[in-house]
Amino acid sequence: MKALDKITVLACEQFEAGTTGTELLAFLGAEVIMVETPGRGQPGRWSMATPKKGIDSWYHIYLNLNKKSITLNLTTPKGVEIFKEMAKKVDIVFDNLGPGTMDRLGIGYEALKAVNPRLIVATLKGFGEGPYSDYLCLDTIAQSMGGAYTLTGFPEKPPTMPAETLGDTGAGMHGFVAMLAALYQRDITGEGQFVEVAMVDNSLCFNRAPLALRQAEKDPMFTGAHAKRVGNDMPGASPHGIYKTTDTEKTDNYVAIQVVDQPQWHALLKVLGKEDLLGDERFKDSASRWENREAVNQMVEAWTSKRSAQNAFHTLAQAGVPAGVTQNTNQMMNDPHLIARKSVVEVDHPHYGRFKTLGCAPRLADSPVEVKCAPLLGQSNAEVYAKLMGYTQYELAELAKEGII
Amino acid sequence: MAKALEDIKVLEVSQYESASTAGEMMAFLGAEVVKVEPPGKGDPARYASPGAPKDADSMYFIYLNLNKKSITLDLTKPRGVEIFKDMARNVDVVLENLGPGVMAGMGLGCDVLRELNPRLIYASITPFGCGPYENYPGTDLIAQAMAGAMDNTGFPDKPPVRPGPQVGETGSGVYMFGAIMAALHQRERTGKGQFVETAIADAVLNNMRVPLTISQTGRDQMYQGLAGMKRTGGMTQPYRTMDSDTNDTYVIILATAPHMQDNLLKVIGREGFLAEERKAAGPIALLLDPKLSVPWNEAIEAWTKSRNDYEAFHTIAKAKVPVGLTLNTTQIMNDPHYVTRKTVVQVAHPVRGEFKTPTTPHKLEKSPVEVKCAPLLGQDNEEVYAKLAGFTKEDLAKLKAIGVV
Repeated sequence: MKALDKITVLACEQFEAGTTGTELLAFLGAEVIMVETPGRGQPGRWSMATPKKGIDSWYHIYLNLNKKSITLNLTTPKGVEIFKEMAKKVDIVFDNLGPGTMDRLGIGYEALKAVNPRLIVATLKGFGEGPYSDYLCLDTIAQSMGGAYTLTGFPEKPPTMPAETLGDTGAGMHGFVAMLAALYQRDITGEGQFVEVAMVDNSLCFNRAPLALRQAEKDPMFTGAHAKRVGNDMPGASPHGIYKTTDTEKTDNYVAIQVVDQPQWHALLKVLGKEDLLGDERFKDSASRWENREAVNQMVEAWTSKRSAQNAFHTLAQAGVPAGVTQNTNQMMNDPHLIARKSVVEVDHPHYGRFKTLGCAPRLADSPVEVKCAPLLGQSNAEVYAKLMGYTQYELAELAKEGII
Repeated sequence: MAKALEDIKVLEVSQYESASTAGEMMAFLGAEVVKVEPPGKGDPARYASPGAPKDADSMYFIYLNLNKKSITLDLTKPRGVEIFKDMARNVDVVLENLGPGVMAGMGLGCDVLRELNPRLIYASITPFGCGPYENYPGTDLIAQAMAGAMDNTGFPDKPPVRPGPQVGETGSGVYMFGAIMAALHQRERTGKGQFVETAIADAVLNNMRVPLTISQTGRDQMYQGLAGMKRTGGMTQPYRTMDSDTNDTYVIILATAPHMQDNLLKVIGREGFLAEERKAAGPIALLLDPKLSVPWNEAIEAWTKSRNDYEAFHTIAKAKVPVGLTLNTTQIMNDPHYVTRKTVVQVAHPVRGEFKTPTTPHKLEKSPVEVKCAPLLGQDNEEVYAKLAGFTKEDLAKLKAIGVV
């Protein structure tokens, strides 16, 4: 059994923000049916690098695991009619198309609610309702508007984009949880509802801590100076950052260390062989260490720079000091911990063969996740249309001929 | 039912950010979230936050604990453990992030509590999750290092740098909220609770899906290469405005389609610029090939540099080109879009006075969010203990005298 067995989702998606949210639903057992344009599919399939025309991009494959794909031409009246008919039989209709698109197609919230009052209609937008609602939004735009750029990087460099595509994938995860909350509410009340998540709101949500830490202590109404980029520092706390190892020159691997409290500081001193500093006033709390951070950092790096990144990481972590390695993408996809816990898994694809991808972050003991490959375009037409519309192979062939599917 | 989670009760035993984030999102949607804190001290986020005042809760704590209740209970005392167990019989969720094995060490592990209450959902967030590194300590910095975010953020001539957004801490909180909601939905069908977990490292990893696909596109699907993907400074150059020197705000433009590039050139009065080269190279190559990107960026910056940030933003956005500003923290919290959408709201705190805070990205039609301030330590002892443990005021006075509450 899985948590979302028997839940069916019709997903009208493009690129990443939408697809990552419904992928999580699929991992937990929902039947997620991507509704795609005949012959083209959603743009993530082909607008990112692909080995040749007609082969899905990795981008598409990573973001659409465990889903089904059907084709349907929503610009035709017959296509719209079929969509509405299917909407009567599903639990969630989800989209991340441009603002107003679903309404224009005649399958907006009001139209769908009329045919299925239990339906949850969820939409993921760039800016969402508000003064900027019609402005175009992509990952980088959402990240810049939510503060990710201004808070990332070095003071002497311009604002910097984080590696994570937090504007898109972050919004997807927020869409996922918002749909689940609506689903639970429906379990109790029997009624569906409209759910909205905006990429820019999502982006801002991840910055609550830096917003609070770097400014609000002195200026709760945000009327004064803004926060400055601090590289790998956390003002007021030390040690916090990355330190050179014997691997740094060759592999660019540093060890990351953050000491949160006194017991961890004492554990670190023992690892460094500096027990004589256990009672030292200069290092008696986080604030004092921040004042003396140059001495702290020198002491730490004198130790790390004589060890490999892996050795420093395990030695510190086993002593109870929060530590990590700045792993590159290949190292993380081969990390024994991530593989053991199935955060990194192997799956087969009909074109590419066996490949590595990521599993499901939320783990439920009673809802095991089997990761399955992303579907080819229209792969599930026969199965899904038979189930939701009662169409025979013959009828499907007719619809294909007319360009409806 | 006026809110999605109105009938749900949560006992949250948490520190710092990840579990507090999951609990806060549940509280926004109507759950009664009771923070169980050590008497006299509370969650270390109340005071261990850099720059926090000595006599009041930090803004860091306040931002992450809106809409909750607080009770005090000493879980290191047998009587405290007994009281917690009694209360766990009457709630739906126990949510914790005290660190690997800490709850079990106090006699409050999943097995113990679920035997008392088979409907209970027991939710744990740890730095690494179950697996080889499960007992290692960790923080947001460590997770961002281990999951490849730092290695891919910043500039080739600089060391790896931590992204400002709390992708690990807040991200794992969001995933945990999703896990709990899925488990609540599953419980509606099975009548049984379950154990759910997620890791701070997994949250970062799952926001790295796209960089991972780029790093393996067409050549290394099993990640056997040496270097992995490297930091490039980001695919878009931030453009200066007339105010960048003072407010650090730059313009981010992602014109990835030919018509967007044409629109942008119209805005800056350079119609036809690089027309043939653009046509030959394609819209993405323009952003990546220095031979084209350098003159292209110069032309755009020549225009943005003589305008202020919001003027450039609105003008370009209205021309249907994806554009954002690297808003600084002061601008974010005063931006008319966020304020109109109530993504940023104003709340009053009994000690800190009026303040501005980010709220939640989840907008459910039938579960309106009213933002309430984070509780003072032990503020709700009387109410919660009366309801969940049946204690009178006298009972509480006695427990206080022996230091249990």
